[in-house]
Amino acid sequence: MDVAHWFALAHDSWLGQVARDNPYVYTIGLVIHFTGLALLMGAMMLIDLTLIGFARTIPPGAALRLLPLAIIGFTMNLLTGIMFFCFDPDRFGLNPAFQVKMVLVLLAGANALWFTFAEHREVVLAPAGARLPLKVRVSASLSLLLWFGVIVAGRMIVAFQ
Amino acid sequence: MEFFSWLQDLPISEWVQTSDYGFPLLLAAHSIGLAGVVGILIILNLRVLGYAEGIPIAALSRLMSVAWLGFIINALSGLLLFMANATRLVTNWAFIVKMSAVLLGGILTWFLWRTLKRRGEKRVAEPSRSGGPMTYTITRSAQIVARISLGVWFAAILFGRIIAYVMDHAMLHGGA
Repeated sequence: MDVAHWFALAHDSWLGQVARDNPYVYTIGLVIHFTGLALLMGAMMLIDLTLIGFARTIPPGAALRLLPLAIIGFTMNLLTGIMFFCFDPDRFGLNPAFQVKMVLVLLAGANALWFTFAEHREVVLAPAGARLPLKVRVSASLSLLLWFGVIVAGRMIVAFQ
Repeated sequence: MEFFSWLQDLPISEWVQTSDYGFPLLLAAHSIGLAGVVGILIILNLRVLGYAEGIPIAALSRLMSVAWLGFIINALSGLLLFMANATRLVTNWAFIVKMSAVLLGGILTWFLWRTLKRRGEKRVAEPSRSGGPMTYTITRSAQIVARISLGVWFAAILFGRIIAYVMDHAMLHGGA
């Protein structure tokens, strides 16, 4: 089975049909996608800037309490994103900017998972202003770079159509 | 209207209209700025409403620099995006509503900080930049402002999305 088969499956799915039949579904999806972006980025900026050492008066544990907010924002964007894809799988799947965006999302996700399983438990207990291990600061910096990269790549999709 | 045609005919406006990457790059910058402004302000407003209470208000006061940076990026990218389509945008109702929402959001944020810094009975001591004690008070009115503010920034995103559809119905799903 090749990629074209999966694209056709996504295209003919219920979600794809609903998106194509009602023009408002796509528009509302975009509004949700941008609101999710603000939620995810707001929470991630606060968490990552704190872990990097930019906000020394915030205890890392308090910043990490914002993670559910980031997950809500990400879920909003994942679900609406799947809908956009099903709307026209070829338009997105074959687009280099979209492909780069997906790779960046996967890298950002892998980075977040690594942090959650390897570092979260200790970092959450660190006092405000503590200098965190280099690997944590690098991971937080990468997180910011990757998520902002996701935004830029997403906006470049129209340039490659 | 002549002023807006003049704006639209400036070389930089024409570059935005005709280059392959002008619009996407400006929209990318505009989305980064959106993340900066609205992202930080969502956290601030939620904090005022009682979410993530371990984050000191004073720390959020310092993170306002990130929100300001985002605002400057969006004012500049927004100005160029406006110039490229000045004559059509100036009569676009969604654009006018969005600009009003941004203005209102700015006023509400200013008012929120004013309310937070006012002395009151229920206060939390926070260190200020000058070293002296800086107190922030979350009052009932601050929470009302925070609630309205969240709605206003959502409206700014919502009507921002609608601008392109009002401009050109034919480009539904056009992506701009």
